[in-house]
Amino acid sequence: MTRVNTNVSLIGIILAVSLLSACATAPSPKSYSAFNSERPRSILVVPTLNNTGNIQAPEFFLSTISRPFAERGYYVFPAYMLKRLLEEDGLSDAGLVHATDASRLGGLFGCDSVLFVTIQRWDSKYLVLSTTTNVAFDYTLKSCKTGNTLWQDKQELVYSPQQNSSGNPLADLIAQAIVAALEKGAPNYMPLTMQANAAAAGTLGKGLPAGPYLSTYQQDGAAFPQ
Amino acid sequence: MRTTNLSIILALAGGLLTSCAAPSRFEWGNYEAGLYTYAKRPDQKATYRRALEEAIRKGRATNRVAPGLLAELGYLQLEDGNIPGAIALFEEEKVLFPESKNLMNDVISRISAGSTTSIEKKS
Repeated sequence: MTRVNTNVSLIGIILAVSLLSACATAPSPKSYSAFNSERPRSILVVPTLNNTGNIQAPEFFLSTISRPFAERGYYVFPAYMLKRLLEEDGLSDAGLVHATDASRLGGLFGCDSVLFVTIQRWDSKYLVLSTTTNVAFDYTLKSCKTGNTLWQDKQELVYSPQQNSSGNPLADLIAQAIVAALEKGAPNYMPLTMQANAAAAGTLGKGLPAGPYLSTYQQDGAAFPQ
Repeated sequence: MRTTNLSIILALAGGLLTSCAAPSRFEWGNYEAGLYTYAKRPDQKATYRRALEEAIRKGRATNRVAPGLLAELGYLQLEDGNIPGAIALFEEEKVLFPESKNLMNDVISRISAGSTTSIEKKS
C-alpha cells in the first residue's frame, strides 16, 4: 500500500511540476518602457517573412497568429482580409512589407502597432526510428506612430513523438518506426506553432501586458517592469 | 489514504492546468481550423465561411465576438458580390471594435468607389 502511495505521489508531483514549469517560465528581465509609453490598443499583423524552404509555411502560420494576441486584450486586425488588401495594393511581398516603415503602415490602416513575424524554422527530420519537428519564430512589435520597436520575442519549439515501452523490444521498435513515419507524413506544425504563439504573447513577464479588452488592463505592471 | 492523496494531487495538477489555460476572452469557434483548411485547399472557402459564421453566431450570443471575425466574413461576402451584407458586417466590426474604424471606413469607401479588385472582377 505504501509503495503504491509513493508511486502515485511521485507521478503526481512530476506531473504538477512539469505543468508548473510549462506555464510559469522564469522570465528573463525585459524592459517594457517603450511599450508602456505607447500602450497600443491594436495590432496589425502583416505577411510573415519566410526564411525556410517550406513555401506554404506563411499561409498556414496566418491562421494561428490572431487568437493568442487578441486573447491578451488587443484588437488584432483581420489577418486574411489584410493579406488580400495588401495584395491589392501591390504589397504582397513580405520582404517589402517588412522593410516598410511601420509608421507608414499606420497611415494606411490606422493601427497602433504592427507585428512582424519571421519564420526561421519549419521542418521535420526523419531518422527511421524518430522524427523531430522544429518550428522557430522571431516576433517584433513596432509602433505605428514612431516606427520604434515596442516588444520583441523568439520562440523555438521541438516535437518528437514518444512511444511507450510495451515490454516487447521488437514490438516497441516497430511501433516506434510507425510513430516516426506518421509524424513524418503529417508533421505537427500547427499545434507547435499555436503553442509558440501562445507562449510569445502570453508568458507572464515576457509576453504582452494585458491590453484594453482584458479586465486586468493597466493592473499587471508588477509583472512587466519598466 | 491512497484515494485521498491521489485526489489531492489530481486537484493540484488540474488547478495548475486550468490556471494556464485561462478561459477564452473571445469566441473563436473553429476560426483557426477553418482558415488553415482554406489555406491548404483553396476550394474549401465554404468551410472557412461556415467556421466564421458559427463563431460569430456564438460570439454574439455571449457578447464575446472575436476581433476581426466580422470583417473577415464581410470580406468573403464582398468577394462573392454581396455588397450590402459586407458593409453591414464592416459596420458591426467598427461598433464592437472602434480601433478598426479607419480600416473599415476605408474599405467601405473603396467599395463605394468600386475600386477593390473583387468589385472590379464582378462588374
